[in-house]
Order: sequence, then structure tokens, then C-alpha cells
Amino acid sequence: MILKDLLKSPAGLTGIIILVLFSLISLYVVVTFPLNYGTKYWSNPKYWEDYPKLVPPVWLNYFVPYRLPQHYVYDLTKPTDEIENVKKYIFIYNLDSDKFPTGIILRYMNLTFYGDVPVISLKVKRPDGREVTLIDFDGGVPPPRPGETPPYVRFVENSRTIILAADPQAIRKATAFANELGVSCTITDVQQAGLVPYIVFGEPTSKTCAAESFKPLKGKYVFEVDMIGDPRDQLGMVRLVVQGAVYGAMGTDYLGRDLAQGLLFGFPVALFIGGVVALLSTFIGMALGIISGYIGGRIDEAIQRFADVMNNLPTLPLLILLVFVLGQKLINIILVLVVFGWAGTTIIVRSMVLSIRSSQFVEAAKLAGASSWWIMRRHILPPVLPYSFALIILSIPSAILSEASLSFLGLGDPSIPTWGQILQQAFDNGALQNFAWWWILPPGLLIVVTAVGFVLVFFALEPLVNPRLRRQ
Amino acid sequence: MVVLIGVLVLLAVIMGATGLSDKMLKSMLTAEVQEYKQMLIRQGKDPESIQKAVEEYNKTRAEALGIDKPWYVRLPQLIYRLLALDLGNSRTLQSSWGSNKISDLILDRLPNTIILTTTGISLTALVGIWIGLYIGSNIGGRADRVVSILSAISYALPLWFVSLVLILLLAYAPKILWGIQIFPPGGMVSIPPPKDPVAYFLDVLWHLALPLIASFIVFFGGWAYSTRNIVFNVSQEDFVNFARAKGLPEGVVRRRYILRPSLPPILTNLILSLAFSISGYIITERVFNWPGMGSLYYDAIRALDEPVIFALTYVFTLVYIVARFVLEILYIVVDPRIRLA
Repeated sequence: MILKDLLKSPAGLTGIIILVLFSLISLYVVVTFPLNYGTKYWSNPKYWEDYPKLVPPVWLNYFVPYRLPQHYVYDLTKPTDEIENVKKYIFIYNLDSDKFPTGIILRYMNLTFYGDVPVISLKVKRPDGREVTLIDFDGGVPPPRPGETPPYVRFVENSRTIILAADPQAIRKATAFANELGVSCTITDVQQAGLVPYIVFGEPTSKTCAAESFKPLKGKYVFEVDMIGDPRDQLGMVRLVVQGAVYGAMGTDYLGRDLAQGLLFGFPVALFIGGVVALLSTFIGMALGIISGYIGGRIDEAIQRFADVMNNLPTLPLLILLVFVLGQKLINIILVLVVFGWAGTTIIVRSMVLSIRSSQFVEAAKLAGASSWWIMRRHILPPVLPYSFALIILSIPSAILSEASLSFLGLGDPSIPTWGQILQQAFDNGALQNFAWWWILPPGLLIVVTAVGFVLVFFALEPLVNPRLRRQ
Repeated sequence: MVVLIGVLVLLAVIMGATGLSDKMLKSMLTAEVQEYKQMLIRQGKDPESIQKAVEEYNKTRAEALGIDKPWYVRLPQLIYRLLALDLGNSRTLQSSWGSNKISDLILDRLPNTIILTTTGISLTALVGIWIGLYIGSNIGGRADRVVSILSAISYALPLWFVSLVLILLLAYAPKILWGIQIFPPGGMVSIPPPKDPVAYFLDVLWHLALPLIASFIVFFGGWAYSTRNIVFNVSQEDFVNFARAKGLPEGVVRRRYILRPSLPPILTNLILSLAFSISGYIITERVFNWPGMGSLYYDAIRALDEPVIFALTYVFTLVYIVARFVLEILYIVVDPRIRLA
């Protein structure tokens, strides 16, 4: 009945739609994401190594007059070509954008060799016919240890990763190639300005050594990884990553983390924190309010004074202090929010109970010899319940906002990503200075939309459950 | 008064039960003992007697500080120190003139916070109250509906997020996209600050602009809506109808018969939000890099400077409670019904 009335008001309908949508997303996340997502993936920078760093979402391409390159990842488990003792792994990358990719990474795993360390090299054939050798010998493979017998196996658990923009050999070769193109670069210039992708994918427009003096050379690039050694030598997997300048639905942050994933994980966390805190604090507040209002006397006085004290404290500084002292765990945050959340409910419920207490059905029950406990449960609780439910709805957004504020101050639970924490990291790591709007706006807007959803439902619900307003 | 004492006891208990006060006292003790030891070494005594003297000193100081007793025994002492505003010393943070005393730290920052919050709250409140007065006598109009929606949104809109968005869109975006600086991204004055007092004042105003806009966006709806409700309730009263029936002009009715009795609750809102704003701007100060109490609080969290965190929490609470107290007195002044009762 109430639900039907709720859906009639535009505010209630909007609120319900938001909440149902968000709950469905949360459900999806709970089913598909592992519970230890925070510690295992989100806060683990190694997992995000291949991802482009601090790039906007893919759909930005629809709004800008130029094209930004997509992210490219390709795995090969078998050699494309094999000539005697040379194994060739060939990757084809098509550059069709007006801006440069942000990086190149070569990765391989499960290297098995029998004699000497095989020679692993990387070269690029560009659309203009030029060929650049970026690595002609990977010196990062540990040679056989004394006493070790063939086959020697390397990089089983952790792959060998060569980030070209940081690899001394690749920088040296790229610098030489830049000079060949007519751009006067030194090794330090290339290293400090991260020019490797510009040199590999660009054609020069001026002589000065800067990112601006290159423009992308569109066309087909052939990356070739060669392994020269014993014919039995093997590579388990070779991966080429050409990091795009856009990524995913929501872009990435400074560690390359896919923000879409972090934001998705924030849904159930926000609803869980809001729900648990609201439920517990309203329940405690309601119980104390009923006891206080019905029993009266000294107990009433004590509970009301205590509630006054709690209700008159500025909460944020105390929340900060307590979470700081107790430690940044989700359970502590919830606990502290409950401790500071019940007082308002108690005061409201008590005033409702006072008027119910003097009604005739309570008198009748008393005369019939009912115990206080029975009266509270059977006569006082039912009329108080609907309004308490509305109060739960109202305290959910304030709990979510409080958690976000704590997280933004760096006091969130570091093992669980939340929207507030994403905002905090954005603020602390220069999202503003880099104009990384995709890193700041979505988490904040999600917080606001969630809160607005609950507030709208409360506004629509209040006249239905508040007896005072219903009469008007 | 009950509330004030209650808060004091509660804070002291939190401090004691969580071991915070133990930690603070212990750090004080170690510092004192260390100093004493240094003094003895400088006097050139032999190591063995120094060791003995230090241990002796440690024991007497520990007894004097009461660290050997459980926290609930020390409670009265703790409350006394709080009441006397003896807030102790910070561990690492310093005021701009290099003092380690927490009261100096707070004195250093408090004026800046007051500049930020009072301007933010009073500007928003004045406009909000003015609009609310107007809407309160035109309930149900289009402006009324807009304000109702705004107030719902302002409940769900954190000030710090609005600030972030404003900095992003009004300070950094024009600078990065078109190379012009419309608003400063943060701080209270430019670096280096202008010498001329007028220029200095204008510079502070320029830095205040974004925080003011943010406060306005977030709090305006709430102000207008609550004023509207107060005014609406008053205008339903019999004496207002009577004044209208007497044929008084609408302006006089609004000023003398509606505004006057609406004043006490509006004033309550104003003073409470002023008091609350001192702690309510903690995060916003951080976002705007405003050198006030909130930034100090954040620095203290970052530096794990426990004494400062505790003292600030206490001061924030104290300001709020003092404001409530002032309010009780003001009530008597502005509301003849209370004064005469």
C-alpha cells in the first residue's frame, strides 16, 4: 500500500529507481568480484602495470575533434615463424589515431633454455619502411647457476617485463633513431621526457627534442620479437602492450588502475556501510526511545540527557578522532558511526511514545494486567515502526556521506576501495593539476546520486508514515 | 551546563579508555627524562651515577604525572587540564612563529578559519533568509518548489565535493585549456603576498571567491527552505490574520508581525551553523588548502600528532557548546515570551 503511494510521487519514483538500479549493480558486483578484490588487485600496483596511466575513458573519442589511440594488448603462446634456431613472434599494431600511445611494454613468461642464455630482441618495422631495433639482447635473464642442470627455466611466477620508456637499452636505441630522423636528442632528454613512444610512432616536424616536435605516423607497425638460441629453447608466452591514451569505460588513475572496477566495487561497499549503520543506529535509537518514553522517571532522564550530549556534539571531529585512535578498519568505522548516530532517533521516538502512552488502548492493556514489556512490544512498537523505517532511510545517506568524508581525509579502510578513497587518491595525486576530470567527477557524483536517492525516498515516505503530517 | 560537563567527561573517558592519554603522558615523561639525562651528561658525571639519578628522576616524575595509576583515577586531573585549556605541546607540528604549544598553533590558525567560515555562512544565510522570507509568504509557487528540491539536494551534497568540482572547473580547467587563471586553485593569499594592505585584502577576497561560491551552492537551499518553514508557521498564526484583517499594509504585516516572531528560530540556525562551521569546514579547508584549523587537523592526522588531534577535537566541541550557551542568553534577549515568563 505504502509502496504504491510512494511510486505515485515523482520524488519517490525517482528515488526508488535510483535505489533499485544501485542495488542491482551491487548484487552483480558481489556475485562477480572476489571478496579480497581490494587487497589482491586494487591496492596491488603490479597488477596494473600494463594499463595506461592516467588516461581518460574511451568514449572521450566521440567528443574530441581528434582520435586518441586505444589500448592494445596481444599475447602469443606459439612462435609465428621458426627458421632453424630463430623463433619469431610477430605483432601487428595499427596506429590510426592523431595522438601518441602512452607507452610500450614487452613481457614474456616461462623461458626454457638448454645451453647459453638465448638472445631475445625486439625490432619495429614502421609504415615508412624504416626499421628500429629497440632491444638486441635482453640482459635481464639470469644465467645458469653453478650446479643447475638443463633445461633452465626462468620467469615462471613473475613474468619478465620490459617497460621501454624506462629501459636503458631501449632509450639508447631510440635516441640513436631520433638522431637518424634528424631530431637532436640526447639520452637524458629521451629518458626524462619519456619520448620513446613519440620516437617509435612519430615523424619529426622540427629539430628540437620535445614531444611537440613529433606527429604520429599512421599505418601498420610490425613488432618482431626474435629468440636466437638452441632449437629446443622455448617461450611460454610473449605479450606486447601498446598503452593507449584512453582506457575502459571510466579511464584509469595514476597507477593505471581501471577506475570502472573501483567505482563498481564502491557500490556494494557504500550500500553496506549505509545500510548497516542506519539499521543498527535506528534500532538502538528506537529501543532507547521506547524505553525512555514509556518507563519515564529517572531512566527517561538519564537516557535523554545522554542523548542530548551525543546529539549536541559536532560529529566529524569526533569521528576522525575515534577512527584515528581505534584504527582504520571497516568495523571500527561502522561502530563509530553507529555510536554517533542513534541519539536523534531516540529523541524523536520518545516524543512519539509519550503521546501513544496516554492513549486509551494502553490504559486498557495496563488495566488488563499486561506487563510493561508486553505493552511496549505490542502497543507502542507498531505505531512507531513505520516512522522509524523512514528514519532508517534518512540515516543511510548521512552514513554514506560520513564514510566518504572520513575516506577523503585518508581514514578509510585501506583494504576496501570506496568512492571516498578514490577521491582522496585523486586529490592527493594531482588529479586536479592534470585536469583528470574522469578521476574526480564520477566517484563524487555516485556518492551524491546515492544520497539523493535515499533522501528522495525519505521525502516521499515521510508524509505517508508521519501521523502528524498525514493529518494535514 | 549539563551538556558541557557531559561532553568533558565523555571526552576524558574516550581519551583514557583508548589509551590516548597514557600515550601522551608517556611521551611527555620520556621527553623530560631525556632532558634531565642530557643535563647530567653535560655536567660530566660518571655514567653509573647518571644511570641511577635518571632512574630516580623517572620514578618521581612518573608519580607526579600519575602515569602509574589507571586512567580512571586520573580522570579529574584530565578534566581539570581541559577546563584550564592546558592543551600541552605538539609533537612535530609548529605554528608559523615556530612554537610547539598547541594553544599557539590554534591561535595561529583560528583567525583564518573564522575569515572563511563567517563570510561563507553569513553570505549564504543572508541571501537564503531573504529568499526564504519572500517564499514563506508565497507558499506553493514555482520558486517554492525549486527551493524545496534545492534543500533536498543540499542534504546530499558534501561541501568538499562541490569545492573539488569548482576548483577543477573554474580554477584548473581555464588555466589548462585556455591558459587563463580566473580563480586561484587554493591558498589564502598569493605567494608572495602583496605588500599593500588594500591589495592584500583584495587578494584574500579573490582567494575567498571559490569557497564562498561552494558554500552558497551547498547551503543556500537549506537556508531558504528552513526560513520558509519558520515564516510559514508564523504566518498561519491568528495575530497575523488579525493584522491583515485590520487592514495593515502587507509590508508592515511582513516586517512587524511575521519577521519579528520568526527571528529567534532563524537566529538559532545562524549561530549554530556558525559554531558548527568551524568543524564543518575541516575537509573543505583541506581542499582549498586554506591555512585554518581544518588544514591543521589534517596535518595532525598525517603527522600522527596525537596531542594536536585531541586538542583540536576538544576545541571544535568546545566552540560548539559555548555557542549553544550564548544562544540560551540571546534567546532571552530576542524573545520577550521567554524573557517575561
